[in-house]
Amino acid sequence: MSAPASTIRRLQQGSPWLERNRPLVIAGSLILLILLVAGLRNPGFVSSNNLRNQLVLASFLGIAAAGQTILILTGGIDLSLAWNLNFSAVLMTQIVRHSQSPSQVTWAIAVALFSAMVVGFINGIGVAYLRIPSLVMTLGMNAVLLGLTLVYTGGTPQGTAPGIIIDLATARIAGIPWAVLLWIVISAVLIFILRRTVFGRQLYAIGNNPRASYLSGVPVRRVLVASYTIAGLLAGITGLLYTGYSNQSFLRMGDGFVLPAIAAVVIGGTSILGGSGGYIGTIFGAIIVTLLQNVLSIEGFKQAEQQMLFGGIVLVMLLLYGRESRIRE
Amino acid sequence: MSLLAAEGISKRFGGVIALDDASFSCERGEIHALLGGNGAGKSTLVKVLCGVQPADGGTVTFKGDGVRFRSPSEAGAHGIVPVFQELSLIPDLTVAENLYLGREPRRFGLIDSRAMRRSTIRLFADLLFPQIDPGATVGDLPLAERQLVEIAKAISRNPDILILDEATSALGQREVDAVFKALRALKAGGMSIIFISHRMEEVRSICDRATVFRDGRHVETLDVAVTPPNEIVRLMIGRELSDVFPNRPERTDEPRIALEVGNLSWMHILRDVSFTINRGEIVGLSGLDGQGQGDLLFALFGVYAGLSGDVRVDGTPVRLGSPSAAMRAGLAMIPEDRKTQGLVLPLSVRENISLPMLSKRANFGVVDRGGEHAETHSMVTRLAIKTASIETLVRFLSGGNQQKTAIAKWLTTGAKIYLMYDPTRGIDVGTKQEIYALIRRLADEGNAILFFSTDLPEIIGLCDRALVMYEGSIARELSRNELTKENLIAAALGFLTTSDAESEHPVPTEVVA
Amino acid sequence: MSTHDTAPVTIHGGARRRRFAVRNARLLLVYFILSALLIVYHEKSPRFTPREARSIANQGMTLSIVGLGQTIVVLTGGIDLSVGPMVSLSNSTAASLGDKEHPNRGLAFGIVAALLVGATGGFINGILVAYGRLQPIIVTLATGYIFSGIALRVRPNPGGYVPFSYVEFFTGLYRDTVPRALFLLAALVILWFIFRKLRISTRILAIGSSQGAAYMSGIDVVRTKVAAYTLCGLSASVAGLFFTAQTASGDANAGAVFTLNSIAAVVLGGASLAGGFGSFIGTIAGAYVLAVIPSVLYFYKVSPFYQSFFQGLILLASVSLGALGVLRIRNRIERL
Repeated sequence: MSAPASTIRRLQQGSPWLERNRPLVIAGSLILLILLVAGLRNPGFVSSNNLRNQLVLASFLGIAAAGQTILILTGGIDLSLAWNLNFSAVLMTQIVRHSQSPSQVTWAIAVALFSAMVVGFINGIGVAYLRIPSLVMTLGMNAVLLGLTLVYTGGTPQGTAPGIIIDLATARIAGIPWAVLLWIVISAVLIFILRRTVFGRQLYAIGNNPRASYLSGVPVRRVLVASYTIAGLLAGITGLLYTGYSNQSFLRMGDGFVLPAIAAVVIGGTSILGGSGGYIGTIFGAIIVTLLQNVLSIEGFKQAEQQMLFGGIVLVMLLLYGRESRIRE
Repeated sequence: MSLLAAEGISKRFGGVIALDDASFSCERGEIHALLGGNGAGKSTLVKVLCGVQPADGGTVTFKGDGVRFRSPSEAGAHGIVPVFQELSLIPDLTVAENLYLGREPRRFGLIDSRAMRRSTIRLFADLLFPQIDPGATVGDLPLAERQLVEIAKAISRNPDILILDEATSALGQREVDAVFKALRALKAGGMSIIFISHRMEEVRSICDRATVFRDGRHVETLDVAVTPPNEIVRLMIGRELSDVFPNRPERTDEPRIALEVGNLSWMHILRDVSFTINRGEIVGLSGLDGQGQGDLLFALFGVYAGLSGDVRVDGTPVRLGSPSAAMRAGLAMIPEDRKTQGLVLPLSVRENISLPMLSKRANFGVVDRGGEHAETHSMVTRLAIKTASIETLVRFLSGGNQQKTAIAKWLTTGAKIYLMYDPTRGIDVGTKQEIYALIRRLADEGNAILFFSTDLPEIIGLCDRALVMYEGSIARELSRNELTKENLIAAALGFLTTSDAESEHPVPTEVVA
Repeated sequence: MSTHDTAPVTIHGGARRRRFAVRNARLLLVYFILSALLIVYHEKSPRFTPREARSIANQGMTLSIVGLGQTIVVLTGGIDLSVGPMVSLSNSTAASLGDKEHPNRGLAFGIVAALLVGATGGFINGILVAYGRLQPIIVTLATGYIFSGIALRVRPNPGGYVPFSYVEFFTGLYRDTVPRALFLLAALVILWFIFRKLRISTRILAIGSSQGAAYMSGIDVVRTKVAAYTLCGLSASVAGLFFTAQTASGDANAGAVFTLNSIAAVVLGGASLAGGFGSFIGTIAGAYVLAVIPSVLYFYKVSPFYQSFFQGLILLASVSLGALGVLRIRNRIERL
């Protein structure tokens, strides 16, 4: 076949790269679209100040969604994000309530993060060894943590965030917020893990077919427990950061993260069924969710309309991504 | 005028042409076989006829009218009912509920369970099938019984054309006989049956005519009774069939024990199983269905907990705590179902082949990509896996190539003992040959192979010895000279025959099914 | 959440039979827990008066009704995260259409409107899931947002009018002895039994058990799923109506808590989230277990802060007990 003819044929068939990365392309285009449209209507929106703030908020969501990404890739989900996050936050602030000495602060952070990891670990044991569906396991843990937080704080969380955490969440270096830098580091690590390490490969294999993976020598249960533990840690990190941003811990601070985090993962093209997708998409998704929330409030939409629009946009994006394969196959 | 006539049917999936101007016709009251290797287009044609897949082009005429079914229920309403290898039974419903799904008898608008139950019992009795409890949950039944229910369900819809696509694959001899009896009666009553099977013996036993497909096209329609099996196979694969089975070398050197199993027991399924396999041997595992053969393989691969007895590899006792542990001990298993157990279908050839050895070949947890590529390429070459590239997703490969990939991944592990569960089931003749040659090569290289097959000619043609299992233990061990059909069947039924059968080295003119 | 289709793996009889027994044991277990809780409650409360019975009956009622719809959807192998917002929406609609001048007319409008909204919302969910072939968890997450938004539009601030007669009718006592809610519950149970004898319930179970096989058996998967989600939306709106009777007011945020609780109730009741197995009878017990815990804690003078803690604990314990059977399974693949 002559060269032009074959090129035309290839274009007609569509580029395979485009097909494979369709969600990323669509998500990326949406970000540009939002920036363009909102920027034209409100120049202040694209000011470096606003964008920087949005990026900071996006980084919180992004780190929370990182844990979700890992778990969703294995076919699971983390509904304990909200109160795992919250519990770690109150642990930190209440431990440094009376003293903000460096040793006390280090201890507080260590305890808070350790608690988050333990929660994740317990989730992992329940899902992997007791075969409790992850929806149920994390749901139950969420309720338990809610109770624990209430009891521990007596209904009113005490203390403020340690200085270093506040700096991490709000300060900048050379104009770049520390929080965003942290997000970049976490992103780089996570993407590397997912794409280049044995652990990442095993995650994808398990997400697609745990039995065949097991019969190929993959230590399925161990990998799952590790994933849930990592997700727990990421939830804890998010909690600490958000506490720094808000100066203090408070009840229900995690509520606004769960659904948007899941939305971010899905908007990013990761399949909720597991086995396909990745973190780059989630990064785009987190940015989109954050920008959308910002745009909608700038445009003067009340909460009612914001919610309706947000839901509507998620649906549209899903429909654009191409539906799951035919029932039979 | 034919009952069913398909002309010029074409169908492609992406870049793969499944049917290319295919034609097929079937008369009333005949049992008509549809033959061909994997990728020949048989299953695709059936799917088009049943409304599961639409054709891209061509016409189908049924009872004189042009038809174009858009769903299985539409085809079923017109009188064409399929039974596929992948069951269409609902695991959580009972046998009766499955049989009457969509057409439950009703009383005052509500489902009448008692009537359903009675009808079920009556149906099985009429068909002379062994009785199965109508209230049993289908998911709890063994595979053979599920296939019987599946077939009964299709027959109960009184089709004009019944299509059986590998529907007898898991049935034992007894069940097959019952089904064939029913089919003959139905044929006498005017039903037409399209019969797809790789088991040539079954085809010769029950079919009147056969149509051979190759590369998505009709090759020839012939009369089964008068056509020699070799001729049929030649039509299927397009070339002369040389010896199907590779030669078995005479053992001259001292046998060295590779695997030694002593008094292995598990629950009530495996009882006191003891045997040895030497290096370079292919030991067959045979017997009736469900006597513990598959369980033995699982047990040896670390899938079963609570084993008693001992297992030694090269003289060293091993603890089979998991497949990883079995792997470390030098074992490999090619499982029963390549699509759900042997391979991760949505992943690529490369990712599948590298999976078992990922961590061993990694540097501090990072995958060794260069090594992975090289190793995958070498495996693809070594096993002649037909694939566009190593990045092709395994689910796009044909059955035979999928199975080769499933085997290839274990070749990377340096295993010395291969446990194989019916590795050539549902694979075309040409690829089967290649796999037999591969297995013999593995043995010649000093590996030990435990080869379970439900296909007797395979056991006879390929194995050096055979272990026949009955009710969870080894009933009889047959040496090469004793490997005959009669001995295998007799041992399978639990009779201890005297080994008076000194048959000659069997010449494989009998076509491998 | 991973819904890997069962393969023709030769699962051994032993493990299969055990799984069957385990699945039915969960139903017994949840009723056992409920009974234990009620007994414990009875021990501590001064007298088991009709007023107490009424209080308990009402507490679990809304959740039970939501649970009915959720059970049906879960049986298809799906899930509906928009039920909570739908309860809010139904509640807001009914209360907003309430009219002090013409209480009965307002009430009638309110009820009809709420039911219509519920059925429509459920229908939309069904279309998106079945025709759009999108995953239920994400679809209903998004539509939940939308329903919430609409509820806020309808009822930006809590309020509205609900006639007292309405409140009394559903939440009061019949002849001063029997809680009226129990009649409603009985009616729902009867409806459920009839439902199980209808062909559609078999189709729903079939789809949840094995969608591919259901399609091959000629079941119209799309229509059945649409029906299931529509029923769920409808039941959420009925729950909202009862909720309106309980709170005598409309609040666009009040229903959110029912989403996850309904899932907990369904799971406690023994249903499988993968579909194909479950019953409303179990869900009722699950709903009441969750609803009774706060009262039990109250009488034991335990801080209300522990409510959520114990609810979560009982959910996890109940699921774990069923799962402990897993550890005795001798086939390690089955343990995955």
